[in-house]
Amino acid sequence: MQEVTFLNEHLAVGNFGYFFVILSFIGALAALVAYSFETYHQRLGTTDKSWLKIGRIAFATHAVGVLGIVAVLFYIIQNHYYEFYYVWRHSSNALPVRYMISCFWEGQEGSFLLWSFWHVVLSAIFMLKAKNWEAPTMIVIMLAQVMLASMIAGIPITEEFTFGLNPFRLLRSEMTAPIFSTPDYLEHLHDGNGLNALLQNYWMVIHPPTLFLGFAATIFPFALAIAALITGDYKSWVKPALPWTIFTVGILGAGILMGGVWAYEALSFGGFWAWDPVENAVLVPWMIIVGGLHTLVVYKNTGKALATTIIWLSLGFILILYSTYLTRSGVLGDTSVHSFTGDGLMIQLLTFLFSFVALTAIVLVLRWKSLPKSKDKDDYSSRELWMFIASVVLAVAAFQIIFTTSIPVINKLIGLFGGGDGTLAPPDDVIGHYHRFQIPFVIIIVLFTVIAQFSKYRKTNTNKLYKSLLIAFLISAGLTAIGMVGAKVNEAHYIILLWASSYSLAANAMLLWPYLKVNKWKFSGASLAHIGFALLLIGALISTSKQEVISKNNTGIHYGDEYSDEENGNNIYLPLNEPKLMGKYLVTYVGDSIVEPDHYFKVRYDEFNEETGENKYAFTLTPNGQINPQMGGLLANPSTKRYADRDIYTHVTSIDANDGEDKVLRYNQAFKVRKGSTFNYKGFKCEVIGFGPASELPPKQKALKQAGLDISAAELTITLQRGAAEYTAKPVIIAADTMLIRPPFEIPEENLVLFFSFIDTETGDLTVDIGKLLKPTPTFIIMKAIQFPFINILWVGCIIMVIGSFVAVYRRMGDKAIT
Amino acid sequence: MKQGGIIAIIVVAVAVSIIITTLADAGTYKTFSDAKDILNKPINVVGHVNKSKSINYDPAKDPNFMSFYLTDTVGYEMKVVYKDAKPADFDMATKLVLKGHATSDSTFEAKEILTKCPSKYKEGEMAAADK
Repeated sequence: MQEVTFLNEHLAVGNFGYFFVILSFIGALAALVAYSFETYHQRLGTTDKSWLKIGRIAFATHAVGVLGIVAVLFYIIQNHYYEFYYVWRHSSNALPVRYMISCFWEGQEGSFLLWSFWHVVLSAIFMLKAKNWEAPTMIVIMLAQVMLASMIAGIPITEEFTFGLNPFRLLRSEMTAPIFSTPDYLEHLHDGNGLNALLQNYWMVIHPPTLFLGFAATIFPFALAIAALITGDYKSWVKPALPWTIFTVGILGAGILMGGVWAYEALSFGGFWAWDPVENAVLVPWMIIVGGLHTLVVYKNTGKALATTIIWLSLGFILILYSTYLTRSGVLGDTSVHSFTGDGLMIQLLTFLFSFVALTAIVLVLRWKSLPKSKDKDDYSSRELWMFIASVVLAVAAFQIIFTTSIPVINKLIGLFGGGDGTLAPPDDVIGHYHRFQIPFVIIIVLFTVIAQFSKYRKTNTNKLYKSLLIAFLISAGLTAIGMVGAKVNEAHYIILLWASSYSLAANAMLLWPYLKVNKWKFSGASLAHIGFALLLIGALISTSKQEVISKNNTGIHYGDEYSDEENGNNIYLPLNEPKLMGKYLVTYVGDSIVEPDHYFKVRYDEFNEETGENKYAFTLTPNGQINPQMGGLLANPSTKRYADRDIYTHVTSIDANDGEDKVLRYNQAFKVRKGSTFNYKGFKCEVIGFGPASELPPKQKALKQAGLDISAAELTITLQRGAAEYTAKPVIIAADTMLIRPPFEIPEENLVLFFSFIDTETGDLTVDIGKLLKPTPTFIIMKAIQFPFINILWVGCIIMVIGSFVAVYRRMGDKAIT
Repeated sequence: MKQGGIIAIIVVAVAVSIIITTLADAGTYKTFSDAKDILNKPINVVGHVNKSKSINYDPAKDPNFMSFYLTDTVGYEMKVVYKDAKPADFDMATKLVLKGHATSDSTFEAKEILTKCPSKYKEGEMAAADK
């Protein structure tokens, strides 16, 4: 084959980026080796710090590498260098700048890079105060960095197998298409594939970085636990481990909750939590680390539960790796609404997972005998016993979630032995399945937190304990009664959960009170976090159990047995401008508006008074339903009306697609201009740069002119610019006989059309019309509306829980070391 | 902790019961030929829409009813009734996973439809890029 020299490619930038990839990989390896030697020398008791210095230099090299990759990747995305596969696949010209950073982590490579980047940032902070813990802890972290760097190494091993995915690989080496045989293919490659439309939501700018910060944080409690085992120093690791563990719990928890908010605001699955495998995969490690945090506090105060703590914290990190395997290897396949492709990283992901499982197992087995274990019987009024049991129940609950989530993996394993795939599928009623297990578990956990919070370490004055428990019980009974009446909670298991959560709320509020009064707020972290958790549960249970689909089809007409009965009718048919009764509202679909690629539908709500028959305007919602062939049809973004005590949540489930209908002129605007004037239209900066006789006539008029008719024509030259996209339009106006002809000038890429409409010979004003050629307003939409009562309690709970965590981090940073 | 042993026994007992109940609660992938023998039992069926037969969805009449014919992985066909709005990506889907049950020898009522669309970034994509 003839070698083609391609034009205008920015190969140097890509090579520069790839240099950083290799630099980060080698730096991580070198740091791993150096810190290992340093740890060995520390154990021997030598004072020579040369390996430590080498380790730091290697880490700095690695850090430069990672930051370099990040910078180059941002640079090529910002500059729309579509010759790079990553840029082409994840971005496009039309993408607003605020979502440019979302392109960064949409792909596998970028998200591994983000994870790696946070490891670097957190490590740098950790090293400042780590002292003797630096070397043994950094061994573990650098091992993870080697693994992460390998995911983006892009070293070809054989024809089929490449070791990692190079983020700077070229589009033409990734795809085969005829255009890549021409040297100037970039001339034809104007735009990228674009960012997944679901990710174009402001929560998506903040949720992934927070979640990955949480992912990255989990390695610190784990690495410190492993370092404690390696060094045999089981005391002093607690001081750094405690704030890092609370930080992990807080930030990972915040990341998970933001994911819930995003799901509620941008996805149309009708709620904030769907027990989707992807959500579960992150929730489970969080739960285990929460358990580990509580046993760590027990260990700090009583010297008990060290082995459990180390196992929990290790398991937390290993489960993060397992969740990475689950969500990125493609193994979930049919069971998740999130679709993930394998991208051939399966082997590397499994290596990542099993190398850390092996490391943990080996170190634990070797050190098991040396771990101090308590042989005393715990008093039943001691705080540590209840904290310990609660964290065990938490772990069992986590086990239940991960076991069900792993059904596709179990199915694959069964298939391995039997050949082919097994026939095991996730439960038929997924949400019911999880609730059946998780509601009893959470009731038990919450009640134990009440007892633990009221008791003291080792032994509690039982009279005082009973008194506090009784007062809190009375308050909780009152709160439960309010909930039952106010929010109509009526099923037994929900009433018990409401009571248990209220109990925890009351107990922790009682404990919080003195801290607020005597200005000892920094001790309030635990109470605050538990209050937040209790509110979260109350909000979740009311809004979920009392949610109501209000878009019932209540036409009263039945079309025969085959058609739906009223129970099933969750969607309402709304023809344009035809009011329909929906619950207590009269809803009308009054029109649409298109802001490409989004398509908003205006739905007006009037409150309908049955007695008087009058209606009063309430609010207008604009759910978005963009037709996105790439994503497989309609992408629905909900629109929600928020009241203090409830949300009205709506999304379109289907629209009249206007198939076959011609596009019509919409959003037409006229501008009076002269040469040199500028104006704005739909985000385009337009400038009139030329006005004069037309350089060329349309064929018909050309022929007429050649035939001797009196024809004159004028032309405007207008540049239109938005972001990186730039166009030149040359609309003409033709005077033929007594007629004025205004042929449209189209810019098909943007659905734009321009007309040179009028020349005012007296004033010299020129009129130009700009519009968009779009499908006409759909004649109907189909909509679903759900009412979520008291969902604000959930959000308030989330915020308080996160605040509580950070108060606790602040307090624990000031703790003294245990002796 | 001396109570550790008791706790451990309880934990193991609970964990084992979780495994057993979960496996009992787990769904199964079946074909239509199995489905008609176990009427009204919830199962999962994988297959593709028979595009040569009618896909019935008339939202003006009833937005909560659609019916179509699905051919399962072994080639057996059944009429599927779905009492909800037509999934947005239904027409694009190459593969469907149905959750539901057979109501007769020839009809399957789907409670949930998972649509599987062809991977977004395969053939045909370059044509779109090369505008």
